[in-house]
Amino acid sequence: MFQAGPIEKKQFAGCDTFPAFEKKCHLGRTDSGNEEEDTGRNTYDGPHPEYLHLKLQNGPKALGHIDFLFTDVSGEMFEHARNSTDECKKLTFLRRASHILVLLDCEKLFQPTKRWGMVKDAKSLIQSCLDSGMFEPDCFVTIVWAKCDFVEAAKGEQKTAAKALIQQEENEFKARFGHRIKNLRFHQTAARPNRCPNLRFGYGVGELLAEWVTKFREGRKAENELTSGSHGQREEEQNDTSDQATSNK
Amino acid sequence: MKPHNFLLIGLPATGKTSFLAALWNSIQQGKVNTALELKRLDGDSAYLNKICDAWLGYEPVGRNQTDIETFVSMWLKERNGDHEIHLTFPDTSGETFKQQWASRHLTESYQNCIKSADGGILFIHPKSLAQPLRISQIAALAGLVEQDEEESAAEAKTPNPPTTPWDIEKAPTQVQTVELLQFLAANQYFRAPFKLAIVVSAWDEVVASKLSPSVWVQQQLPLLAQYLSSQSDKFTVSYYGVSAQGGKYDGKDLDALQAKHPAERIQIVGEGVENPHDITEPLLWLMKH
Repeated sequence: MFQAGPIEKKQFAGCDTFPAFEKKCHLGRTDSGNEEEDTGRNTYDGPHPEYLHLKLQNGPKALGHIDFLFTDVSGEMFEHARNSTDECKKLTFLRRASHILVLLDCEKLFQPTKRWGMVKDAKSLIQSCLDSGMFEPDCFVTIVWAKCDFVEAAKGEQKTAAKALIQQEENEFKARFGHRIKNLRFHQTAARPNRCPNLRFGYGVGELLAEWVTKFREGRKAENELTSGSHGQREEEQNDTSDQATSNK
Repeated sequence: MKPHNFLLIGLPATGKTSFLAALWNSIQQGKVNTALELKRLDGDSAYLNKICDAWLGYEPVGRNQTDIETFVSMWLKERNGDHEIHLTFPDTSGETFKQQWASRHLTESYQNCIKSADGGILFIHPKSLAQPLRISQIAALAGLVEQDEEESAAEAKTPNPPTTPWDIEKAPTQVQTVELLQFLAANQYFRAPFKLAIVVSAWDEVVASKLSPSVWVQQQLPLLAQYLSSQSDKFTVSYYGVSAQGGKYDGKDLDALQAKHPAERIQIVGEGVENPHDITEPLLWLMKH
């Protein structure tokens, strides 16, 4: 999206992992020879993920930059974490995360054999992370209904049922985890809304980005303030930067 | 006198050598009143004469294919004054810059160039932009999206396996260009604020758009424009559109070009440009700001 221009007035200010981003974009581009857009799958290679880096400026007149680190995690890694709190404790990067996204695939809402399993897996993962103490109390956990273009493009009863299911599950997430996760949120995205082009490329991503830029973990914010006032730091660290580790499934 | 050293930065076929050829001619003629003129020769001018001869003969200026920098050096003086200026440029091949992106290494000689650089000129060519398209953009153009909407939302599709593996060298021009600037800015010898003239080459190809060079870059290379805007503490930039050839070397354009004095073939636009044929204007800006 940044290759087409600023997002919600946030400007691209740098990237230390260009080749990794480019490789991820490849299967969605005509150069790949694909007929349909796709994203490369990550393979499980132990509990230490790869990271993607992005540096942003919060508007053209903002002072300083914000550094983001995104984890690039295979679904299999979370499968291990879901099944065992001991395995979950190995995902140490979770404790550094300011924002954690748990992605649910709206396409599966229309597949009776997959919809309930998907929701149960997400709840099991959150439960395991909470019980093993891997979510910091002040981190932001957002349940993201991805590929929401499937819902928007559905007709009649199918659409109504899918929307009702989303609402019902959101209520269940709140009831089960709301008292343990202070900042529990819900959001919808359609990164490639091919089913409903009216939603535009990257639908919902800009709003997430705006949250990441403005909502910090309290502890992390204090760390940043300390860093920005200290001496002998790298230039980037003096510019009110912060690490925003965002995990996704 | 300490020389001014300027880097010429650009991926392959972005107009670096054509710019040098046109510059070498401009500073030695009297028809166009350029701000800078040649004061005296400095060492070996064979390379400059060779590329200038090709330029004067309306032939494509041979691209610098070597993997080492060809250094060119010239003593100039302000036409309306006595101030002397010693300029040196490493005419680094575009392939060298391409390799920076692909192999993640700088050559030692380029490292030395950075060490002594007072500024630089970044070249972008409108006809050599790699701008990968998303598949959905093509599908939308072909009207396939409407067809998809009619299909059941529940239908799952399995994309075909890729027929072409990812090739780092085919990354978008703006991504590669930003990375070159990031490498420069991260270098231990980089001194901020670094003066950077952004030259959009072959400006005759895009002049019909009636856009200024800075707006053209914003529209065609938005990632680069954002990077430069957000890193204004590191880079002080000025945008130029330069047609060093003056037009295409074929068809009707060639007849028109041959009817002009060589120095008047050159077209330049940009912030503060007073003489539309003076290719020394970006150099003047680099030296004065």
